[in-house]
Amino acid sequence: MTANTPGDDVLVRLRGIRKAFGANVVLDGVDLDVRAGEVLVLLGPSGSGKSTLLRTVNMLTPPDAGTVEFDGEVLVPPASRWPWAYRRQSARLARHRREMGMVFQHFNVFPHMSVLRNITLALRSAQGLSKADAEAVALERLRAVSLAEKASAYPDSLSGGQKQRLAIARALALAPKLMLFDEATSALDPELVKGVLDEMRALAGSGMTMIVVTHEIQFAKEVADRVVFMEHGRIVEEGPAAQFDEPREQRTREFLRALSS
Amino acid sequence: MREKGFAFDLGVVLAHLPEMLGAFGLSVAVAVAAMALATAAGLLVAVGATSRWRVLVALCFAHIQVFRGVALYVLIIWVYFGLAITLQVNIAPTPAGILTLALLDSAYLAEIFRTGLQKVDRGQREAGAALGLSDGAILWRVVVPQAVRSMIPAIGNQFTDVLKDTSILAVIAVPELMYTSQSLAQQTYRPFEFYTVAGVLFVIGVSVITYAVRVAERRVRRGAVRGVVAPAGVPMVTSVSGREPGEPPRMEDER
Repeated sequence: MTANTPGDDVLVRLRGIRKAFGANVVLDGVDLDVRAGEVLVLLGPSGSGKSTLLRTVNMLTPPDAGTVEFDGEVLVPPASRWPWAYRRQSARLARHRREMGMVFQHFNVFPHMSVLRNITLALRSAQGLSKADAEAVALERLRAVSLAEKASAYPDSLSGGQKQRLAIARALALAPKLMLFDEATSALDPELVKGVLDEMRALAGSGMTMIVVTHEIQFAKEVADRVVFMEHGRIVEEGPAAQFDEPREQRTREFLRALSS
Repeated sequence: MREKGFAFDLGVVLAHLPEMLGAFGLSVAVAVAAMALATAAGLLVAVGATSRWRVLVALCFAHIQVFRGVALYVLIIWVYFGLAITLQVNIAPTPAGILTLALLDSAYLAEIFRTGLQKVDRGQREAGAALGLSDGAILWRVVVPQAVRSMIPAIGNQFTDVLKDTSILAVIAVPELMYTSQSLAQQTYRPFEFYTVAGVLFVIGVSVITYAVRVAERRVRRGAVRGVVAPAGVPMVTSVSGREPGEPPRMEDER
């Protein structure tokens, strides 16, 4: 089944994405379009390939075959044998990655930097802002996730939920066109999940284009414009969130029943 | 005291204490200089050895193998006499000693840093990449600082070795603690006293380094790779079979 919404407003276009780790085929030919402003939720049992698919979008996991198009340009993972060519390819990919924020399951905040520097690093190093400008942007972002008073603290003094909100602020500071969420709440204690989901909900409401891998079914139904159900590296079923109250495919029904039981 | 009349006479050493302390100062200075050079070189070699460029990787591993493999004694002879004979490069004893120790320890430190670089969580590189940082920024701003922090105890350990290794520089007449002890021992016929005091000074020096490393470690504790820590929400595995320690095997384990 193909998610085809042809048009100029397609921000991410995946075609024939295949990926295998050794003999294990994780993505078996996935086609998917994500329109600008759309919130797309990827569902599926563990090992279905949804996280890997998300990671191919910013080439953290380059696909073995297929193309990833972002904002009208095909992304090429750096692969040259020659250092100077490799550098050029790598710089080009980095430029695209600055327009895609990513939030990880295990936060991946930088533990050796203050909360503020976690955010200013990319602003200064990649976007070339001055220290003062970068700190102004960072503080504004921290305020938005209620972490401004933690600016000079180090991540080891933050709760999991605060770390994840920091990670969200860090990604948003670069003003990306797309946000990728890879099980952003799966590593959180239950009482901290809501704060992070609230941030994601607010972001979805602001019109951000988002691809979200999650197991939070209620959240998915609430914020998703479209839900994609994957299994064995293929898209099994996709449609508006409401469709998943009464899924068409037997496998989807089984999966959702298992989740709610 | 005993029948043979041997008396441990520290008075002789005390008379020469300024010379002994001055010589120990040189040992420390040589060790610090060598350590500084070795740290910088070792870090570069470790980065090269973990890079994606095969030629660079091969050269860095060759550096590690050669300088870790060659005996310090041989290396000193080579740097001091060998370079002078073959290439007419004449280096004064003290700089030659520093260079020798720096070469040797750059190899050991490169191995320490290489392990440290590989221990930094993969997610840290991925976070840097996802933010669109350059490869250089990911390496030098994200990975290396965490690797160095986690390696501070090992680096301190290496430092104590360097300090003690300065004693072998006596071979090329660097007037450090061991060489000075030797010549004073010969002048006064009191080898036992002088070597004992030299040993005590080394122990004091090593103790100071050990203490300084502890302090440094405590200061940079945040951000270091602290062994294996289970991520939040993931239960720690207590045993390979998933059993609690001491719990008898269950039927499921047979599958």
